[in-house]
Amino acid sequence: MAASAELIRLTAREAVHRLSKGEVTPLELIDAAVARIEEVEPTVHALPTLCVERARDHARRLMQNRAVLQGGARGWLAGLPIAIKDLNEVAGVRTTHGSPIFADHVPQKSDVVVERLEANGGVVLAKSNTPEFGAGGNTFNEVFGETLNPWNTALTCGGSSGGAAVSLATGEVWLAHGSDHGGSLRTPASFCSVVGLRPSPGRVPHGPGAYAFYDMSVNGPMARNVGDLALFLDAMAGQVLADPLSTPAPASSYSELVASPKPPKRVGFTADFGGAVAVEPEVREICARAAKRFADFGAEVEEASPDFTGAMDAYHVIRAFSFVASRWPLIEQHRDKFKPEIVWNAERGLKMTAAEFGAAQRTRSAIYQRMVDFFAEYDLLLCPAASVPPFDVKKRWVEEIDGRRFDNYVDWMSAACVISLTSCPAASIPCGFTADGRPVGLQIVAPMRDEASLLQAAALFEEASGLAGQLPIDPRPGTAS
Amino acid sequence: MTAGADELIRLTAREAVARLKRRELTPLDLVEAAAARIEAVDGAVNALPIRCFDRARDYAKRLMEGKGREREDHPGWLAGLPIAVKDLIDVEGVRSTFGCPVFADRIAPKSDPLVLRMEERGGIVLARSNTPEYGSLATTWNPIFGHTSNPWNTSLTCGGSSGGAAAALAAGEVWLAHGTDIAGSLRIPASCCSIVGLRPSFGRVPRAISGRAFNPLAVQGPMARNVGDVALFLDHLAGYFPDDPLTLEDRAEPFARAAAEPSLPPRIAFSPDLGFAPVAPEVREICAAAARRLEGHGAVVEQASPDMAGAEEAFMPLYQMSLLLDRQEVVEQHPGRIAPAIVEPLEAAKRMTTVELAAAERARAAIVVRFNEFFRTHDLLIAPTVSVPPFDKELRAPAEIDGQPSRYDFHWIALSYAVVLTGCPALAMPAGFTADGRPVGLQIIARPRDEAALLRAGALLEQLTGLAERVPIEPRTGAAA
Repeated sequence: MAASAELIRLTAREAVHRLSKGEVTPLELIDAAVARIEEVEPTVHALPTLCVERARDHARRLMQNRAVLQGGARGWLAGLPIAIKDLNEVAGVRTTHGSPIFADHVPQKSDVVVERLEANGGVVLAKSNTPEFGAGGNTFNEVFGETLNPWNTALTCGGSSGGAAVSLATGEVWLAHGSDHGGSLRTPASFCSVVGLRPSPGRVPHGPGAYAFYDMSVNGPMARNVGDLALFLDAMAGQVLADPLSTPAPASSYSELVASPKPPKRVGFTADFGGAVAVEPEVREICARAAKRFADFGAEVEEASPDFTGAMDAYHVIRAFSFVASRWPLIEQHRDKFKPEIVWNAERGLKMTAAEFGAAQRTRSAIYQRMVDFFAEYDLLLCPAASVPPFDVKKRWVEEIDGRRFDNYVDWMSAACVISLTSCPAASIPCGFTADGRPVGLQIVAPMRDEASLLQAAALFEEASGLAGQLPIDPRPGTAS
Repeated sequence: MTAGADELIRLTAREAVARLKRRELTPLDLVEAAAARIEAVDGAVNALPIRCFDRARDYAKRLMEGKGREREDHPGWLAGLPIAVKDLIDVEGVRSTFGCPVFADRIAPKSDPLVLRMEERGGIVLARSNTPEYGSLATTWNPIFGHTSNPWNTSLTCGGSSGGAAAALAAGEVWLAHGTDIAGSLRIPASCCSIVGLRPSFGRVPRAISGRAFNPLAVQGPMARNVGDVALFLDHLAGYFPDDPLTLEDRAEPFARAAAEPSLPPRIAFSPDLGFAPVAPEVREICAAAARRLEGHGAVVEQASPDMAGAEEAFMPLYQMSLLLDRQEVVEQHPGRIAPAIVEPLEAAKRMTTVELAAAERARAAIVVRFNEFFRTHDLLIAPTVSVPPFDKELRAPAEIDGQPSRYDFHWIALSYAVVLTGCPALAMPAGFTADGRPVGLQIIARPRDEAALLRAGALLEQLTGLAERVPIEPRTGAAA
């Protein structure tokens, strides 16, 4: 299996390059991925649903267009197998949303992001595990159980794109799609030492859904490194009719920009969001050291933060409303089949008035203004992607950080949520490990729509960090404490 | 006014700008010509109650001294053309009232970012156009300045809420007039006054941060006497502005190019009523006849409509919530002094439950899905802009529509507000006149973000109807009924 092992170690870009040159076929890559999946899945449970025959059929159809392929018309991904989060429908493939209600659901139509990826040459090979309806930062559900962190299989991989992050870290796939409302692209990236980008609203089309104009929930790419992340974003980005928020792809591709990255001039770093978010001391130190690395490529690094006062309260209100808008009819009908955290979240939404929702949107606008003011002084904001390193997978959520206690399943993810509120693009890039070997990610936040600056800085930081190239890994056992 | 000045006010905006660029005219020539015209005719229509002629002269002289020309190469550079700004966004140092008696004597401390952009790009603010209080109605009356009258018949409404802008254009007072649109306010007065108004995609033209920064309903936009001038004005106003979180990236091509290439896409739909609104027979016929003119010019025109059922139920709660986001503070700070047309919807928003708001969001999403499906089989949709021709200006709304009683103030503009739900851009332009000489307009609606398609089709329709040649006019009296 030496050839197969070599193939799964390629970057996505290298794999796509070899595909476009005909040096490897999509079928061979599927076989390599399947072999690796068979090796590691029994341990980590990241990809609970495979659609191998469907993938092979798609691969064969692509391969029949060989002449077309060599002209690049197979699109960005040229037949590369990919994983899709189990929150997004894939036609003909079991899509459970992590919920017993949909345990046997096989949709007839794909989510538009899947259609776009397939049109761009992505071959869907598997669905990645997610907590129920993507709610929560620990990937477990009643249908498929827990997804484990390959760095230490006693620990959580984070969530909600946990399966995606783990499938990348272990080399099961080269690119894995995810989504993010309260950090779901960033927390698992941080916990598994991969890269995840939460794009601006409308950058990556998705849906159609029940709440079409909801801009706080986005889809996005995850990968093992920044160059691959940029490629995946190129393969996703663009406007589609079915998503009224979607925007046209930019004139210059992200792949081009990241290949010759320009550094930011001045960045602001905060270890704790100006005091608004509780962050574990070790995470603060690791991120602070990481931020200093930006000086290596010519950026001025200063300690600074926008004022996030009121952000988490506003986030909670808008989040709670989104449960009412997108899920309430279902929750009402099947209450006993929802996990308690979701019922709590929806009920919170029901108890609110629309006026409170309005007040939260006003706060959100005010906080956006603070980001605007910050970005007038700094090109980027650097901060922790997650307040804690990966924790015991058996814990449903984190109840205390650095002396602050939380009474709900969302607050421990404030490092991500306060940024979600602003809708600015944000990525998590590996920036180190705790003394006991648990991954930590640095969050890089850019102005609205400026994924270009974000990805270029991320590429430069990745090089300076010395952490690139460590993946994929074999899952490692460990203890929770 | 002099024969020379009369000729100048009759120029198109494009021709005026071309002559400015060629130095055949100075900005001061145009300021004086417009000022003279305003003084001659505004008494009959009351479109531009606030004037800043001296300020405009100062700006003109600055440009003539070679200052403020950094953006000369921008496609939207106006080279010193005077513009009217709606009395809803601030111009520094100029009386800015929002049509609200509380602010009757308010001098704006600083300019709205859109005004700054206009001034950077060679526009000269000459006057402020009348609006109902806070833009709250589709007719133009406020307690400070009273009515703006329709120049075609000064007993009739000019529509609203950008009524002053439309009347000023029709009467030749300015070449370009800025407007806003949350329920149709760029398009309704265009229809009533036989001029052109474009509701752009949200995010196309920047808005100042307000309580509703993330809300896509309310937009700023261009109005002019013809399609080519609207395109120029759109280039002047549009472009990336990250202070507005909805901002879109710059397009590669100017909109002016689209308007200069009149053409139709192959499949055009015409609907007299979008499947749901009551519409006066004369309006139906005039709009249908205008749409039929397009046949044989590279397009098939068929009668068809997306299913807009539920538009009223979806729009009104979202509109009410939008007012709550932006106007709650002013209503609370000035109890009893703000117009009922603002206070009543705002109070309705306060009484709303999240279940009701969520239902409206879901209804909107469902409409968007159906609307977008329609654009798979049709490239453009044409419909009347409003249900009735202009009516007695003393009325807030017509008493009946097509023989049925009007149920609420916005009933006659349902065709306009329904489009707002979809996020699609829409171009309102003249379709014809009733037997008794009242203007009737239609709107062309395109796929999201596709203002260019609107401008290409609008330019062709305008050539076929010849209606742009009828303006500007001298204001005329007439009967109200």
